[in-house]
Amino acid sequence: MNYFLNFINSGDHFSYVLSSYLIVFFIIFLIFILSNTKTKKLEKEFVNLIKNEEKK
Amino acid sequence: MIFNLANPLRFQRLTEKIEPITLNIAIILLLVGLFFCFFGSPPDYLQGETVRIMYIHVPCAWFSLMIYSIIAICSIFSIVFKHTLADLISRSCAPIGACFTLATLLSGSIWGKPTWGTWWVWDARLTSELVLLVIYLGLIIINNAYEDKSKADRYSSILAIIGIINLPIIKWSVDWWSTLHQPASISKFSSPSIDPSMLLPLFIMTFSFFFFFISILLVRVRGEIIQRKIEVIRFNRMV
Repeated sequence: MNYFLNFINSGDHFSYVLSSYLIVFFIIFLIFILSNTKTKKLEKEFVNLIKNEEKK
Repeated sequence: MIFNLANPLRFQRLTEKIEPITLNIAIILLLVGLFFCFFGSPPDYLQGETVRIMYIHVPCAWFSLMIYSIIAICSIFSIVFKHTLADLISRSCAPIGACFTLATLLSGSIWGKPTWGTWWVWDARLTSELVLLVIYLGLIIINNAYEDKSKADRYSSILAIIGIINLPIIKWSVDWWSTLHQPASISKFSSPSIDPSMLLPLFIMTFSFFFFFISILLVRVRGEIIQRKIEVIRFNRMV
């Protein structure tokens, strides 16, 4: 706990560490969300195409 | 086993089962890792609290290199054996690798300001990592530039194989040239020069990022397989 309290009260260092963590996680979660969205969209499109094929 | 999984449809079925497991492991490891990063590891005697940036910067740097190695191996497989799954993995890896490289450069830049007094220097390690990002972007552009996917896969494989030359430059640039970037602290051939209290969160975060990478890769490969199926259906309709 002492390590964390010292870290929070470290002034400039706190903002450098926090901003780097936020940027890295933002980038990783962004690629994760974009990949998931793209794949789900393609899955929907594929299901619709299969349905249309069956109707024909 | 490998040739059994090399069938894209079998691989797709497997990814659907594995992906939620890898994602859950990644999230659990991330939470444990963050606990150790902020509560269980001391500040550095020289760098102070900014050493905590290491726990995300170093895994990102390792994965930027590892993902490129995967792309290079898949590219060789693609050119030699004309393997579809190798193309799909290579294509799926490029944006993930670009993201890890960008994260490495940005977190390194933020770490550089309080440690070196500057956001950026044209130092060998930093410049070669930037070149890696440019190569990744080149691969993404080539993959999306052609309607004929086999042509795009062939050209991107050639670029990926040429780009391998950059990997040893990144790895040993700190030994070959006089750089501002510190030399490797964790080596395969010698004991690490980092205290175990700092090594533990570093490894937990590395494993967390590894499972995140696997999870994202599986989702993207599944997407690529579905996209190819859609293209086949559309092509058959036209014929």
